[in-house]
Amino acid sequence: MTASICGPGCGFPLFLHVFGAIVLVGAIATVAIVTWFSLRRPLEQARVLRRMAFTTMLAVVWPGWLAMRLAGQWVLSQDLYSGIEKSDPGWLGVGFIVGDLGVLVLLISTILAWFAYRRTRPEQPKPVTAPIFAGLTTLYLAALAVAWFAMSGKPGA
Amino acid sequence: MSKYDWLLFLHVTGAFLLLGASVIAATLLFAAVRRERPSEVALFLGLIRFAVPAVGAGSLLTLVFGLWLVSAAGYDYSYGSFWVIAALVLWVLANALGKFGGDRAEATRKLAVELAGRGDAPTPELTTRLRDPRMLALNYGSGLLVLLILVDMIWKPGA
Repeated sequence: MTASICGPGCGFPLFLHVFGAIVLVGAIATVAIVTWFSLRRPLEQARVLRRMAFTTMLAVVWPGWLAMRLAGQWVLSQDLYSGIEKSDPGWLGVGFIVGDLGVLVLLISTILAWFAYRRTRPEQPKPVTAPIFAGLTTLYLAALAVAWFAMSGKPGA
Repeated sequence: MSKYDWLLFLHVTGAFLLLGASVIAATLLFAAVRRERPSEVALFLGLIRFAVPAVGAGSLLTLVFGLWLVSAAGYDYSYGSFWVIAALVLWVLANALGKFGGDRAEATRKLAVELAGRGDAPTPELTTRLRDPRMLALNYGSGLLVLLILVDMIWKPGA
């Protein structure tokens, strides 16, 4: 229903923004599930799961975030939204916070994912980075849910 | 927030659950296809079960609140519009393909579990089933149809 209020010219940027957000949510949920599950698996399977979580961060999470953030800015550049950043509505602020702080969270998460994978050894089957990574991605998933509430319901608009 | 805002939020939540869970399932299926050891194949295919409830809830939310929105939106939308009918047809097809594809993936997971308990050695049968073009086409095709629904919702052809 959003396209009709967005205007005929912003179909593609809006699609890219929503598509990127959905890929980001799905991929973050995937790495959270896989990493939490890895904590209960034997060493060899835990390593396979943590490597998959790390590659998913690089191959799916980051592209999803880029598409969501860049296309979001593209949508805002459309005529319909001219001057909206100056009026600073709450729903847009939430989107910016979750989107822009997301870079930091994703950067830390990617580093943690790498260490969680590389430090999984027979003498250390559950490196401390693994549960921290799983917890951080779960928290970010919750933040993304708050953002989709703000962006779709636009409370206070 | 108005009634329309709430309906839109619930409809979009359904879309996030449905499409987000499709991303989870597609990523795990992709990972499973690249493995050879039955225990690892079973591990990845088994994790898809976490996405299934979200697919079900998302399908239901998108349908119920999507149909409600057509009448509550206040725009000149109609249940007979091309984009509404297209969305419903795509929704039915996506669910059907997902069901058949999911059944095949589940049969492959059961075989992988069985093989894992019998020495965990890769077999040609497991590899063939994992790379079965029909199984992959049904599962990825279902995801593609859901993505087409998103395209339909954004552009609303015929609205």
